[in-house]
Amino acid sequence: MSAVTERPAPGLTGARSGAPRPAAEAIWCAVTLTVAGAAGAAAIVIAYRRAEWGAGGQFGWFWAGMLVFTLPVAWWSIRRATSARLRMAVLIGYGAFTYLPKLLRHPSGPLYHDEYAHWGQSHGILADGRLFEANSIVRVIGDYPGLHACVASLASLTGLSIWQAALFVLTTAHVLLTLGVAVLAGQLWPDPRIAAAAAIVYSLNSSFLFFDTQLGYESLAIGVLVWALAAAIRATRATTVPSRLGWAGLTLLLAGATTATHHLTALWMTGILGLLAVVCTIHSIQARELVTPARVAWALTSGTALIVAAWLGIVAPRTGSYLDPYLGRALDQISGLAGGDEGGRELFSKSVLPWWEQTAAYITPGVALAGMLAALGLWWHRRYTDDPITRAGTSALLLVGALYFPATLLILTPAGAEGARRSWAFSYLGLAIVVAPVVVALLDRARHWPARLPVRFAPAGPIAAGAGLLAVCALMLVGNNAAGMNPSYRFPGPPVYGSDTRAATPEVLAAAKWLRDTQGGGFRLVADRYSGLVLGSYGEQHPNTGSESFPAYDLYRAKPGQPISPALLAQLRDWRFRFLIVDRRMAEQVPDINIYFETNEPLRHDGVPAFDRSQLTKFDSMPWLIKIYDGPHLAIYRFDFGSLDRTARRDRPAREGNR
Amino acid sequence: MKTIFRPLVVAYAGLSVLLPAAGLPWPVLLPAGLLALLAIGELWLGAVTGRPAEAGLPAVRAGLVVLTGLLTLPALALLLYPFGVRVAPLPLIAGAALLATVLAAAGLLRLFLGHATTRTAARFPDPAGSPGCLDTRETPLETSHSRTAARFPDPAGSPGCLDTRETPRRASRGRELLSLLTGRGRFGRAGDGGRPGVPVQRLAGQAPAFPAAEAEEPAAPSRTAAAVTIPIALALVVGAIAVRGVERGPHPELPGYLTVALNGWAAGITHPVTVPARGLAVPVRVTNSGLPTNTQWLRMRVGGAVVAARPVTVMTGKVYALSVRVPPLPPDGCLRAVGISVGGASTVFYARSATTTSPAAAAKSAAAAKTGATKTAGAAKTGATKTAGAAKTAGRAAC
Repeated sequence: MSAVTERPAPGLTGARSGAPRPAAEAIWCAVTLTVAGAAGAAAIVIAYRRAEWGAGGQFGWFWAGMLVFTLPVAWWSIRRATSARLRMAVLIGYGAFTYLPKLLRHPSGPLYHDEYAHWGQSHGILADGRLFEANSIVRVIGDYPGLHACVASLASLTGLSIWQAALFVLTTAHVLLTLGVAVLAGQLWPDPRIAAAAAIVYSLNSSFLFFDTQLGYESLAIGVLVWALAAAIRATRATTVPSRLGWAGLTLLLAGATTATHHLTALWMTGILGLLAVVCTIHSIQARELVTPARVAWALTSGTALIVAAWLGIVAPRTGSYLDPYLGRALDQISGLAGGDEGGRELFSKSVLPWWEQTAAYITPGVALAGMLAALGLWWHRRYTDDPITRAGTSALLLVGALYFPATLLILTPAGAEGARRSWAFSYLGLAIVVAPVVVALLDRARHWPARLPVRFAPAGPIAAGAGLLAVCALMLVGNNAAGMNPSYRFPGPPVYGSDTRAATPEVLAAAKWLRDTQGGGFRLVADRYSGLVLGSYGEQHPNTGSESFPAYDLYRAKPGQPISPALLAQLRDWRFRFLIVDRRMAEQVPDINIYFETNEPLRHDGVPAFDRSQLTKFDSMPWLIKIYDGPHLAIYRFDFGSLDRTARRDRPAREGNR
Repeated sequence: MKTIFRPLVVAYAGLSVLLPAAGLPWPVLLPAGLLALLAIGELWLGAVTGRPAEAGLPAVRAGLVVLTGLLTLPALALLLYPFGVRVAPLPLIAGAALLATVLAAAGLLRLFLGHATTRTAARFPDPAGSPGCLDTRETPLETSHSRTAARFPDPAGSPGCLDTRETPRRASRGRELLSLLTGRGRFGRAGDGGRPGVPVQRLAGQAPAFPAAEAEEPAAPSRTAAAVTIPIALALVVGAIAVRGVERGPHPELPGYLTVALNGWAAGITHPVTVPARGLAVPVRVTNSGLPTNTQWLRMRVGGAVVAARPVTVMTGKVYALSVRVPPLPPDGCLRAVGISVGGASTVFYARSATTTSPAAAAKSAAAAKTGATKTAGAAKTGATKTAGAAKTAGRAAC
C-alpha cells in the first residue's frame, strides 16, 4: 500500500489532457445516468410485475435493474477526473434512485410491519394533534415521536396526506443519509473520492434498500446520526472556542433529535461517540495535540449519554423492557448453541431465494472481513502520516465496523436474527468509512501495476482493478440484501398467510373497515400479528397480540371445554378489551415468517400449525363471546364479560338432515 | 446582517402563505412550506455554527440546511407539547415564526460576537496563523491534518483541506441552492463584511486573497444549485414514470370473499337478547366481493339446531341487507345460541325468551319453536331495537 501514501505523480492529478470540459462532462454524466436510471427503474418494475404474476425471474430482473444504475454511479463518483460538485450530484441521484425499490414495492400506502404502526401513529397525531399516544402494534413508538411529528406536521401544514408527507420526509432522509456518509468520511479524509466511495460502500448494507427506506423511525434517525457524527468530528477539529462550541452544540441538538426519534440509533450514537472519546484519549498519550479533541469527544459523549438517559428514564421508561428480550434471549441462545444445544436457525430454510443469492450471502461476510483487514493494514501503514484526528477517528470506526462480525453470529439464533440485521446498518457505517480509502488506494495503485508490461497494456491495471471492485460491489449488494431481507418484503406476490407484507388481503381490509364503520375506532382487541396490523392501522383500533405478562394467545390455545385462565379473563375485562379476532388459517397453515402473535410466543414452530380447528371454532359456543362478523377466514367476536358464568342450552335438532 | 435577515424574511413569507385562512391548495402550500423550512434551516446554521466550510464533497452546508429545516417540524411539535398545544397548522406556524426570530437573534449575536473577536484578533495577531486558512489560529493539530489533506489533493483541481487550507475558491463550493434564496451567492461579501464562517478570521490578515477569487465566484452557486436540483429533478421524472407503471399496470385478481355480519341494531348486541313472543327480526348484512354469483343456504340455528333454511343468491360485488326473524323461544328462561349463516360464514349471539312458564309448557313451546317457520325477508329493514327489558329469570334451573 505504500504507493498510495505518496502524493500522486504530477500529471496524474486533475483532469487529464483531452478529458472533456466540466460542463460537457456533467452533461454526459447526466445523460448516461438518466438512461441507466430509467433502464434500471424499468427493470425493477418488470421484476415486481413478474413476481406479482408468479412468472419467475424476478431476482435476476431486480438485480439487473439495480446494477445497471449502481455500477455507473460507482464509476462516476470514484473516478479521479470527476469534479466535487458532479460527485455530489451523482450521489444525490444515487440516493434518490436507491429509494425506488421500496417506493415501487407499494407506492400507495404502508406495507411492512412497522410501517403500519408508524403510519397509524402519524395519522393519530394529524387527527387529534397529540404526541406520545400509545401504539398497539409497536408499543414503544409512541415514546419516540420524532418521525411521526415530522410527518404529521408536514401533512398538517401543506395539505398532503400522511403517506405523501411520509414519502417526502423519507426520500429526503435517504438522500441525506447517502450524502451524510460521504460528508462524514470527508471529515476524516478530505479526498472527495474517498467520500464518494464511503457512500457507495455504505449503500451495500442490508438495510439500505428496504429497511431504512420504510416508514419507520430508524429511517429518519440514522441519517441524523450520521450528520451528528460528522458534526462531532468537526467539533473535535475546531481550533477556536466559538467554533468548537458551535459544532458541539449542533452535535447535541442532533443527538436530541435522534433520541426523540429512535432508541437504538440514539444508543448507537452514544456508543460511537464513546468509542471516539476512548480512542482519542488513548491516542493522546502519544499525540498531545489530541488532548483537547479527547476532551471535546468526552464532553459530547457525556452530553449525548445524558440526553439519552434522561429520555429513557423520564419519557420512555418502557424501552428497556421492550429491547431486553431481543438481546437477552439472543445471548442465551448463543450460549446454548455454544454448549451444543439444538434450536439454532437453519439459514435460508425453505427459502425461495435463487442459489446465487444464497451463495452471495454466504460469501459477503468473508469479503467484508477481507476489506476490514485491508483497512486495518492501511491504518497501520499510515499511522505516522495521518493526522491525529483522522487516525483516532479511523480507529474508532474500525472498532464500530468490527461489530459487524459478532452480529453475524447472532443471525444463527431465532431471537437474535432480527437484532443482528438491525445492527448491520450501524456497524456498516464504520466498515464503509474505513474501507473507502482502501478502495481508492487499490484504484490508485492499479495505475502502477502494468509498469513492467508493454505500454499497450497500460490501461489494463486500472480497468482490471475497477472491474474487480465493481464485481465485488455487485456481490456485496446482492449478498447483503439476500441475508438481510425476507423475499416477501422485497417482492410482491399472491397473498400469503403469515407474511407481514402479503397478509393484507381484501377480506382482512374489509373486516377492518366494517369494524371501524359500525363500531367506531379506538377499541382494544385481541388479534394475531397479521390481522392486528391491518386492524391497528386502517381499522384505527388498538390490537394486542399478547406477551409474557398478558398471554392473550392462551385464549386461542385452550381446548374446547377447557376453562380460560381467570387471571387472563380478569385482565381482559379490567383493561376493557372489546373484541376478539380469530383467523382460522392459524389452524390450517404455518405462518410464512413462523410467528403467530409475537416473537416469544409459547407455540410450536415445527412446521405444523400450532392450533387445531376446534380450538378456533370453540368461541362459537361461548356465551360471553358474540360473533358479530364472519368471513372465509376471519371472525370478529365481541366480549360480553357479564355472561362469563352463563351456559347456553343446546337443543336436539328438529329434523335430521335439515340443511 | 443580510445573511440573517434574508432567510428570516423568506421564512416569514413562506409561513404566511401556510396560514390556514389563506385556503390555498397543496401545490402552493408545499413549496412555500419547504421554502420556509429551508430558510429556518439556514437560520439554524447561522445561529449555531455559522456557515460551514466544506470538506471532501461540497455538501456540508446544503445537507445541514435541509436536515435542520426538516427537524424543525418535530422540534416545534415537541417544544409546544409541554404547553399543552396540539400539533395543528396555526400553532406550528406561530411556533416556527417565533423560532425563526429567536434563531435570527442568536445569529446576529453570533455575528456581533464574531466581529468583537475579530477586532481582538486583529489587535493581537497570532504569530502561528496559517495563511490562506479560514481559521488563522490553527493549532499544530490542524497543521498536522494538512498532512492528510496534502496526500489527498482534489483531482479536480481544488485543494483538499478542511478549515485550514481553505481557499476562497474552495469555500465558494459550499454555496448552493439556498444561497440563491438568501441572496448570499453572487454578492456574498456584501453587508456584514463577508461570508459567514469565513470573514471573522480572514479579517485578521487574509483578506488580500479574496478579490482574486471573486472573479471566479459568480458561477459557483448556480453550479452547485444545479448539482443539487438536476439529479433530484431527473430522479423525480424517472420515479414518477416508474410509479405510474406499477400502479396502472394490470394486477392479478385477489381472492374474493363472502362475509356475514350482524347489521343495524344487531351489530351493537352486547348482551343476550330477549326474544318477545312474536319473534324478533334480526338485520344481517351479506357481502359478496370478488366471488362469482352463486346460491348459498341461509340457515338459522337456535340452540344448535337448524330451525329454518332457505337458498339465497348472492351476486358478485353486491351487499345484501337481510332481515331474519328469530322465532319465539321456549319460555324456559334458558340462554340459547342463535346462529345465522350464509354458506360457511355465520354470526352467533345469545337469546332467551321474554316470557317464562312452567317447565312442561316450556318444553311444548320449544318443540313449537323448532318446527316453526322462519321468515326471511329480502328487503332491507331498519328495525328498531327489539331487546326487551330485563328478562325474567324464573325457571332457569331447567337449563
